[in-house]
Amino acid sequence: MSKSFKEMSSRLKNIIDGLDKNKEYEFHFNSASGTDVTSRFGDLENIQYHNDESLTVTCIDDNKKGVASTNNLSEESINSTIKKSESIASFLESDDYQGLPKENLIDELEIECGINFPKQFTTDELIRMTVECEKSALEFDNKIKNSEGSEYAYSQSNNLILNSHGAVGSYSSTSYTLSCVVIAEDSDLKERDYAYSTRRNFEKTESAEKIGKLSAEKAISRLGAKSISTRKCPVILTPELSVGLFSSFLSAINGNNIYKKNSFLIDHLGEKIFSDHISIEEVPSLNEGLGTRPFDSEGVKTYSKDIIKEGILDTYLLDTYSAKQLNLKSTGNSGYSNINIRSSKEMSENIIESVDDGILITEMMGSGANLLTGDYSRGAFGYLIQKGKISHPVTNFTIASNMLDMFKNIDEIGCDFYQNSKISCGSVMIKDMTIGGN
Amino acid sequence: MNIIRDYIFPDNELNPEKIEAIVSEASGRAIDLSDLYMQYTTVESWTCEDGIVKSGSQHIDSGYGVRSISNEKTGFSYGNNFNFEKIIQAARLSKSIVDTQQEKKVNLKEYDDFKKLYVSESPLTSLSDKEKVNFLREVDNYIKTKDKRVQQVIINLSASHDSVFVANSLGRYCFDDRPLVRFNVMVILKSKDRVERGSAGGGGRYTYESILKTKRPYELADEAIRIAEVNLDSMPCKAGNTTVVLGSGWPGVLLHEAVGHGLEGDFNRKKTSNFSDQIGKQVASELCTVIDDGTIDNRRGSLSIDDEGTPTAKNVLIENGILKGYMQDLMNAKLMNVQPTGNGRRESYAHLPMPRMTNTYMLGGTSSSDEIIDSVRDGIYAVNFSGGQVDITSGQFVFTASEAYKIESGKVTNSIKGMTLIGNGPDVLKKVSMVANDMKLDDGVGTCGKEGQSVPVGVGQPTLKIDDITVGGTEV
Repeated sequence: MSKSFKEMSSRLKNIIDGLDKNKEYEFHFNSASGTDVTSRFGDLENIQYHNDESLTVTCIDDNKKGVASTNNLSEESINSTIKKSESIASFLESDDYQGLPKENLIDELEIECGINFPKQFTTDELIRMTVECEKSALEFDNKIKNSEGSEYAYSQSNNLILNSHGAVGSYSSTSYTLSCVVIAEDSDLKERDYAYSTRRNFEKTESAEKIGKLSAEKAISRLGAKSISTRKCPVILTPELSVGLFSSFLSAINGNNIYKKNSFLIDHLGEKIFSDHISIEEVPSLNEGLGTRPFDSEGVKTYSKDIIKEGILDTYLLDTYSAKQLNLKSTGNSGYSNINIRSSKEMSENIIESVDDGILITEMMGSGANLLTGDYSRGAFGYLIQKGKISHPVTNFTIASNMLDMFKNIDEIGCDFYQNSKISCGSVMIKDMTIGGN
Repeated sequence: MNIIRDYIFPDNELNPEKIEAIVSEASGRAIDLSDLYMQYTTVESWTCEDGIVKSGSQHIDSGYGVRSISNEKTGFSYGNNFNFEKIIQAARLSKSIVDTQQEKKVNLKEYDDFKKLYVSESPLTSLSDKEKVNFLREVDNYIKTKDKRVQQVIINLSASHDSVFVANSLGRYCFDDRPLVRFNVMVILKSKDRVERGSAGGGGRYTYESILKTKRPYELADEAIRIAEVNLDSMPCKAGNTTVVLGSGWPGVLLHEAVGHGLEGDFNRKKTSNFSDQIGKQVASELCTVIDDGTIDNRRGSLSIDDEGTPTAKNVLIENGILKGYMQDLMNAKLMNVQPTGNGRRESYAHLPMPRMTNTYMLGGTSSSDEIIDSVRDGIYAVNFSGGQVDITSGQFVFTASEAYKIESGKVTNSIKGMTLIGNGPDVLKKVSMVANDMKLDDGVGTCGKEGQSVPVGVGQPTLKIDDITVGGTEV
């Protein structure tokens, strides 16, 4: 944690301690710095240097909540931001459910949680890394004719929370991402695909060579995709897409969507949503976890919990406000941390083998997941599976169902866990979906 | 009032000479273009939910970005502190991408001779906070009295005021003040065991009075209720290929995705677009003329000058089906040896400019919308969309309808739910077989994302017929 961040932390602590005791206050202070480097066709294309700071002040006065933020951290600006939050609150209407958390508050600064691995590189080293990554894609096959380049992104962030009920917490984290986007061409056909690796610790990122090669393989395999006829059949979602489906699930059980009745999972607590074999847990303290955090966005301590136990919904994800609305307690889920999705069935490396006639979906497009009704309808790209093997790429079709049906129809989960997200999940087999083709 | 000129400059002892020194520092013999962008943005948002105006927020974001371009290389550095020495350091850092120590003296002149498309006042202070809160309460009451099936109403009012300053090595600097207002209503209706949502919104580059003191908010509230009501009776959609009639206005978002992105200069310079090297070729049915126009007064997607200081323009992209040109920023225009088109936009000082759309629309044709519906025996009439996405390399796009109906024997019948359209941009444009004379721009709600950067945009189109497109749904 940098010296200036520490200084700012103690300055803010003094300020919040001196504010009106009849009102509640929360300060959120973030700073981040980093570098982005992109190379294309063997040469540097972009270098970007970041350095951001921002302070968000929440004031709750007589059950009215005002929020103001600034990125100018002069004393004058901090004072006027506090005043603005107070002024906004004064114009609002009283809401009985409003209030900052008072229990299970974090009370430790500079918490070491295994996600901060700063490492310095020279610009030349970063250029070399991105050039090498793209080169392994360009040299993989002569069908790789074009490139959008390879990008390295590094960021180091510091996160501080304070509230007037005594919450005091801060931690630092790092994140490294190396990616590559290339275009495969064959006669008139053009297909783009990408590969990337995101980690807290640079030493754990996939090698530049491997990422480049994977992006090339993916782009080439898309060439010559055929259309497909309308049908109902089993589909397999890649780990990356499964993560997307489960993040829709996590939004649907977010307390704020539940109390607003803006979810197809209202009144489903204690009910069976998935098949018996599926469990979902939150683990906030995973070493090097992309979602690891000792406290949530309100300064409430996070803790491990079951979300789905043998297919049954065990809890909603609640922050202080939605918990009060629902007459429950905050689960430390103003946001969520690391989520593990597992099956008690045997989890195989390659679940394609278990499908006789179906489709492997590798890309979905469009925003067709309706949180209110659960209706799901999205454009897709994938590969036809015949007798447990990939036959050929297919395109220009949609997949549709309702998420409740999709969740119940998850028959198998693979152990090819996705590592670039805070949601850890393997490939997922859904036994019945509607394919809209020609 | 421009906050950069009136406050940031004097507070930080900045003046045209110092700005010249910064741009000169970022320039050099091997540098083709350098620029300094300064920005001070204030955003506020007020939300009424459960009948209570329960949350309000204001955010101030300010900073600068310095960029140096050499051929296809860009160095970029940004920060929040407007201190002259800090900005000079950032300029040095940006230039360090090409190994030249020599700075190049740049002389700057103020450029102010562009047409102002909107007022410079801040919408945030155009009404008192009390008036904003009262307004939200009134709309909320209106909706609840109007329909007893209402289960949830969320009304949001937000506005921003963006003061920007651009100076570049082409020798000029300019200021622009950009107001932006947005009003949105979402209702959830419940009838028997079904719940459905409807939402509507509108806005533009003006102060609050221009929308709040009109009937518009109440019309939009009616519209949100109407859409939810339509969806309460919707039936599952049959998957497969069919004829689709797109309504006028917002469905132009399809044009934005399916064609617009593929015509942005950066993708075409890199030849990664489906439309690369197609200028002068037939890329759409001859009924299609597509325009990107950043010069329409008070529109959400309009800008008096783009984020590189180039005045925006009315650019013909496709004329009678023939591809005429791409949208350009300064860098891509230079590399492709064409003129900039005023499409260089950035989300903020912390982002690099790139070619982006402004207001993109298709010109009207000669048919009437009734004739178009009449001509369809079996198809779909899609009136509203909730969002879409495109892969500009393959041209593949996807859209999800939030309001759509069946067409049976020339008549619009039942509403359908969960409909997704999927197709290939150029293929679909070639299948446009009828275009109506009812061109309409959207209500001012569009936000476009590209490479992680969001900017406000406008879309529009007349009612039009696509002969054959793939539709997704749950029924086989």
